[in-house]
Amino acid sequence: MKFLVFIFSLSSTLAVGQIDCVNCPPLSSVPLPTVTLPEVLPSLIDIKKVSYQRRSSVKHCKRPIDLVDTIVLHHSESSSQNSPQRINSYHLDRGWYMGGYTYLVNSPYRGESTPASVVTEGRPPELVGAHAGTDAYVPMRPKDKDAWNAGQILCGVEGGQFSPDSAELIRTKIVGGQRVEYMKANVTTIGVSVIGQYFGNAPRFQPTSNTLDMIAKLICRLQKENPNMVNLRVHNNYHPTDCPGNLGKASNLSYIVQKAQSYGCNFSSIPGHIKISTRINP
Amino acid sequence: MIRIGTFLLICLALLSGPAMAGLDSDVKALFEKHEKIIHLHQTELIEQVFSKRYIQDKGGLKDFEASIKEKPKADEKKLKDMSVSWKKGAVTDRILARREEMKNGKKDKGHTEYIVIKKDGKLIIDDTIGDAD
Ligand SMILES: [Zn+2]
Repeated sequence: MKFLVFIFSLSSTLAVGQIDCVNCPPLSSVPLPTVTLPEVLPSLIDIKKVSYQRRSSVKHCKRPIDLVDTIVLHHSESSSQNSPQRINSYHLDRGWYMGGYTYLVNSPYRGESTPASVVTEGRPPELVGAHAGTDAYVPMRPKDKDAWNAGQILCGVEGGQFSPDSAELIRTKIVGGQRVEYMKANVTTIGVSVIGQYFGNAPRFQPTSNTLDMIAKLICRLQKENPNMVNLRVHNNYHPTDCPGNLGKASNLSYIVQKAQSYGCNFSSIPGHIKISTRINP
Repeated sequence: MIRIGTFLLICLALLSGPAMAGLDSDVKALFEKHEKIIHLHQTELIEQVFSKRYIQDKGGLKDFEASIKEKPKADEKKLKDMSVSWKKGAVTDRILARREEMKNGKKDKGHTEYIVIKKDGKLIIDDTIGDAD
């Protein structure tokens, strides 16, 4: 009955419209107004935010996010079923301020249906992470020196005074007779960790296209938000480790870079085990 | 007041000392079994060393056994080429154990860090964590 009433009211509205428009020009001759709509980019991938326990008495450092030019890929080397909060709690147990990765990716192993695919923010991006290696340093770029001199890279504890901490972040080395200043690689990078372990030959430890695609979407979203992020690296570019296992295979990295390109982003990548940092003992 | 505080600290150290020593030998015993599984393929020890959760994440008992047997069996000498250090978690009861392979008394490859928990009064490996820092 309601449907019939609806049809009746619709047809009467159309009829009224026709009566009103007896002298109207044909539609094709009406110039259409140009409307400029705001450009709405569909978000490539959602990033979930959750709350984490932190150890307020532990020192941590802040940086301007535009110093970050590199995304470093890891695997958590743990159960794939872990939540980001569980990884955070493992890192707290190490005595850290909070989890060391900036983003964490949950995605099922090949042939499995859990956990649900989701990207979660870890340690906030404006905080220096703990992932590339505490002994991994990279040469300071002029913009790093500017930020350092302007007092934009600071360390401290919650509720306390933050101040520049060269003992924590800066090293100098004489290279070819020249004094070169290095900064902890964690300052200019962010760590993206896929939760799980990707060592070994078993099929389940080979990343799925879903996992690689999630990484591509995440890094492309990050590049769109911060165009300085142009390098995709893996943990063993910085540190003698097997991390990120099969995720760091050249074929998988080039798949991620190509996928990111298809979403409108450009990344450079290099195979794992090529060292790009200098190991300086803290 | 300071004397009472110092006295309490000494009591705490005396009380926790033997407990820590016991824990140390339990951790070492756990990793001796771990080495027997990995290097000598004594897979019958798997359920004494690893939690159900850990085994599940390796694809279940059969797949875990198969992945261990995929690697060549080593001889007894290999069992000694390993060093384990550990510490108690800063916020939970977990034990974080660091296992390093040694070659001629020196650290060989990167280390592996294990999450060890107490289950039914016994130590058991529940997870591993990456060496990010
Ligand atoms: Zn890593």
